[in-house]
Amino acid sequence: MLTTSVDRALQFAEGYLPKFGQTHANSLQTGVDRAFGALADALGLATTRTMFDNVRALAEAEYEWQLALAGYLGVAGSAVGNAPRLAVARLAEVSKKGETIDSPLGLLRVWTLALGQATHSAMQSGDGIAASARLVRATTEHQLRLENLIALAADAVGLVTRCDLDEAYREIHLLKRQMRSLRRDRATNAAPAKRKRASANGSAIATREQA
Amino acid sequence: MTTTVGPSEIRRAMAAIRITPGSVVREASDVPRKIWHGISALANFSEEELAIATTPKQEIYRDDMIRLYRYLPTVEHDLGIPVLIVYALVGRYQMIDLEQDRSFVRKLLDAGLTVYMVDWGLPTRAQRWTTIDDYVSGYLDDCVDVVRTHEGVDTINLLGICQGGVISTCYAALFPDKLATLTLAITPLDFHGDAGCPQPGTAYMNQWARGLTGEDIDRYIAAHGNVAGDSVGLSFLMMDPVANAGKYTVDLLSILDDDRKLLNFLHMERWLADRPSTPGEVARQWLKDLYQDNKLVKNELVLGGRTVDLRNITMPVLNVYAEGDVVVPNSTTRGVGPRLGTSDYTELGVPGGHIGTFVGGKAQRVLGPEIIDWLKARNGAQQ
Repeated sequence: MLTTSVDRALQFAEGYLPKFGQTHANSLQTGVDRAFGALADALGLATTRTMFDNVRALAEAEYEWQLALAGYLGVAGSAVGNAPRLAVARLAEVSKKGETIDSPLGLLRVWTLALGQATHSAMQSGDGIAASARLVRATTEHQLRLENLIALAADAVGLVTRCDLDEAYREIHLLKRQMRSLRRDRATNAAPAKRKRASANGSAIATREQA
Repeated sequence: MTTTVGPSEIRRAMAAIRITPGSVVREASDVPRKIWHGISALANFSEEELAIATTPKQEIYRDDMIRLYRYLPTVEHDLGIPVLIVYALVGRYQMIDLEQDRSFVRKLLDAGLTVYMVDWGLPTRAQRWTTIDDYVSGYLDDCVDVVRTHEGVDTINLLGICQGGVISTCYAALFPDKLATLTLAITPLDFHGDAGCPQPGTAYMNQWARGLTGEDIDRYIAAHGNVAGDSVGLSFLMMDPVANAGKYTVDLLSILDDDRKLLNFLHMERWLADRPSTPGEVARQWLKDLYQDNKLVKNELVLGGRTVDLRNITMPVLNVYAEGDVVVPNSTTRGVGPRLGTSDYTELGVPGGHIGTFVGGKAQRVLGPEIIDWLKARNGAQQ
């Protein structure tokens, strides 16, 4: 995982490098892939090549995640910039009412209220909502690519992947839903039994089939 | 941000600050005392003192991770028509029975109501494909039938809280014949109700969800399966990050030498730490159909092939809102009466915020008695 703070800082710095290097790398890789891809697959390197593609995709997702996080923190930082003005305005209001702040904790509370107000305004602004959405997208993309990579590795050694499990769960879920529907149909067709108050302190726990 | 500060305002602000070296020393010397007291108290609270949701109850039905409880009566008489409480999926039902002396459930029991509670449990990856319809037409309908059979009645009182209120509303629209009354508490119904009156600090979740695209949500669910309880907890923290930072620092420090308040704090933390995951399909529908497309009040929400038409809600409805609710702003819950099919629609405002509705002292003095009186009046009229 490229998530140490040093790596993050380096990756963020790389965001300012010219893009032509990446473009050339991509072109070279595409060319090699087109020329020798089939041969590599025939030699049993298909999984390795796919893994490499996924590692690259994960790195790209990590890069985008760093940018999205920086954007999000930038919005949060703008709130810190606005908070002092709001704090002064709040203190002026206190003074106008003839009240005073005579405790450090009281002053700290004025500051946190001002910072909270500034944070709300920043995070619920157009920029704040957009930065938040970008961060969700980037986090999701990173997770998906990481899962792809792990699934590929698991598949290569014959282990069950999360997708396999999810599909099994889906089948079970659909079967349960059909069972419930059949049970309802059976209950509807059966003669309606008169409701009778059950014992309030009965010890048996009903299950779905008994209910 | 349009706030501007001039020299005169700065002078006025400085005039408000009257911190003296003596007050600094006094407060600073108080801090170690509070910390030492707090450390001792935190270590010495017994598990019994820390326990939440202690009102005695009996499990009468279970299905998958769902449990249905019947609370043991505390008085001899009962109203005849039981109350089934449906809490949200994003939190555990213990909230409304958090502390013995402020338990909403105990208030209902002491008034002679027969109280049942659905515990939605802790969904796992196996519930990845569980939909809102599975909750409404499956689990909840089964629970309602069990209560009807158990009590020997045709109809029951349904009381839905927050997200559970939405589930209850859908249920009332799809199965109106099984309900005597519907009570909603702090329930979002018009998910775009905040759009006309944007106010920083409120309805952040509504705006956040509308800032995403449908594809963003689909990919999120594909990536994560369920929405983990931790993620839900983080999203609530981020609604007010500064206040939450203050809660664990300045606010906590100020109560460390007050055992009662510290215990309240710990009870709430115990509840917060037990946050369930939300099944992926439920989260997808919730965010897309409700937060983004606002289908419930448009009568466009489709569950299991059936349209949820609010005009089918013909039983008496009590809609409780919290006056200071920033999670479910009043604009998203009030004023839905004309959209319902009932002619008996009542709104009740209680002081406090979202969670404060069920744990706040002021709200508790209003909430329990008002709901009990409203239920008694309706149930009495039907008997």
